[in-house]
Amino acid sequence: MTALDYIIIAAYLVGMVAIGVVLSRRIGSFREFFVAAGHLTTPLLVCTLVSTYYGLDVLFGGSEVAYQEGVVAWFGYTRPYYVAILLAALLVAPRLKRHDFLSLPDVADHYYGRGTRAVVAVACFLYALPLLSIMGIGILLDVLLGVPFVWGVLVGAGISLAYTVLGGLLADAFTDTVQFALMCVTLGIACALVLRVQGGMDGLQAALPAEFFRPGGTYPPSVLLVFAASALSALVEPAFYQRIFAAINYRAVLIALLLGIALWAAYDWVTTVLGMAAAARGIEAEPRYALLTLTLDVLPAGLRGLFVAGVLATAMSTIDSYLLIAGGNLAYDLYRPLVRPDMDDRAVLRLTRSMTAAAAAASVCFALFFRTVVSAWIFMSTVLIAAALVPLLAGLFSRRPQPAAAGLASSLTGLGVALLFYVLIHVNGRYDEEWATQIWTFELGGRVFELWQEHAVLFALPASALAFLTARLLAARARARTIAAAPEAYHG
Amino acid sequence: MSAWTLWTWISIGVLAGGAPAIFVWFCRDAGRLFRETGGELDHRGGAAAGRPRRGPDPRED
Repeated sequence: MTALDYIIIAAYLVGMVAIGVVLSRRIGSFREFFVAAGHLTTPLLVCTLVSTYYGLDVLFGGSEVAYQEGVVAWFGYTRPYYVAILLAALLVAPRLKRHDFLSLPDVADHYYGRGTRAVVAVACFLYALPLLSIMGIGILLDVLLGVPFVWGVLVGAGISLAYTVLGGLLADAFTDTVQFALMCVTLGIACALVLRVQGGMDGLQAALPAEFFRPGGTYPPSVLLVFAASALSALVEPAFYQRIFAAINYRAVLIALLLGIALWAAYDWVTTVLGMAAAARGIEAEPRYALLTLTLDVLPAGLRGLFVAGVLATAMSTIDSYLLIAGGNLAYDLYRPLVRPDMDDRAVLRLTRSMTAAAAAASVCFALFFRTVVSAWIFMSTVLIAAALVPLLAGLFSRRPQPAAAGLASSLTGLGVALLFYVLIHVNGRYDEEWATQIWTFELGGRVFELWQEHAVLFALPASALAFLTARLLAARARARTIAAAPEAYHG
Repeated sequence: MSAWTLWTWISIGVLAGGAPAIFVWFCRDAGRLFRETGGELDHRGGAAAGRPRRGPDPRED
C-alpha cells in the first residue's frame, strides 16, 4: 500500500460519513428512519439491494469456496439464490406491496398475531446481525495492516456502530449507490488484470485440477442440498423485505430485482474466478484471505487503494443496513408490542438507535465464535428459514386465514430444532480441519453416521412444516368439535 | 473462445459497464428524490425535528 492508496481510502471514508451526516438530518420519524417513508426509486433500489445483500461474506465466502473447490462456488453455492430471488420478485413482492408493513415480523403479526411476531423477530434479529461483514473487516485489517483478527473485529464493529446511529435507511441507500458502483467497477477491473497475468481462463484451466471446473465440485450431495436450501432465505430476507416496503411501487421492486440478479450473477462469477486464480497462482493464505491477497498482489498503486476503499465501503453498507434491521427488531418488533404498546414514534426511533449497540455487541460475539465465513452464513440463514419461511409463505399464499397456533408452532419448532441441532453438534462433535466445519460422527445400528452443523436446515425446515400442519389439523378438529357442540352459534 | 472465457468477460462487462450506468441513472433521479423526502418532518431537520419548540411558537404571532 502506497501513500496514494491511503489518501484514496481516507477520502472515500470521509465522503461516505459526510453523506450519512447530511441525510440523517432529514430523519424525524421511525417510518422515515426504517423504510425511507416509501420513497426509494428503481436505480436507488438496485444499488442498495445489490450492495447491501452482497457484503464481504459473499466476496470472501464465495472466493473461499472457489479457492478450495472451484466453479462449484458459483453453481452450487450462489446460483440457487438467483432462483429464490426471482421467485421473491415475481410471487412474494406483489403480495407484500398490498399492505402497509414496515418489517418482516409485521407480516407474521398480520397473519398469526403477536406470539409468532416475537419468534420471527428473534430469528430475524439473529439473521440480521452483521457478523459476516464485521468478520470481513477483521480479515481486511489482518491482511492489510497485520492487526490480529480479534482486534480487527472489535475495531470494525466500533466504527460501524458509530456510523449506523447517524443514518437511517435513506442515508444508507444513498451511500450504497457510491459503494455499489465502486465495488462493482473495481472488482471487474481487478478480475481483468488478474486474468491478464494468469493467461486468461485457459491459463486457469491449465494450472488447476479438472475438479475445479466440475459444477458439483467434490462436495457431498447433502452439502450441495444445504447450499440450495440456504438460498430459500432470500424468500424471507429482512433486507429485501425492508426495501420492498421502502420502494415507491411494485414495478420499481420488480425491475430492481431483475437487474440485481444480472449484477449478482456477474459479481459472483468474478469472485469465483478470482478465488480460483488465487489457487492457480499458488497463493498460500487462509482460504478466506485468498481473494484479497491476490488482488493486492496484482493491482497497481492507486487502484489498490480504490479496491480496498470499495471493500471497506461494502462492509460498512451491509453492517449499517443490518444493524438497522436488528435494532428495529428489538425496539419496534419486540419491545413496543410486547412491553409498551403505547410507546410513541419518537421513543421507538430513539430506542431503535440505542438497540444497534446491543446488536453490534452480539455480532462481535458470533464473529469470534465461527471459524469460517461460510459456516456463519449457513447458521444465520438456517435460523431465519427455520423460523419464518413456512408460516410466512403459508400466510401470504393461503386463500383462507391460517390458525394463529399453526404460525406460532411452526416458527417456535423451526427455531428450537435449529438451535438444538447446533448445540448438539458443538457439544458432541469435533472440528474437522479438512472441511473446516463442526462434524458429529456417531454409530447407530452398526452403521456410522456423520452430521455436519450445516445439516441443521435439513432437520429444522421439515420440523417447522410438520409443526405447522399438525397445529393446523388440531385447530381444525377443535373447531369442528366446537361447531358440533353448538352448531347454532356458527350457522345463525 | 471457451464458454468459461465468454461468461467471464460478459460478467466483467456487466460489472464495469452496467454498474456505472445504473449510478448515472441514480444521479439523474437523486435530486427529485431528495426534494420528496423529509415530507413527514416538520421544517426543522435532525435532532430538532418533532421536538416541542421552546418558548412561544412564532407562527402564533
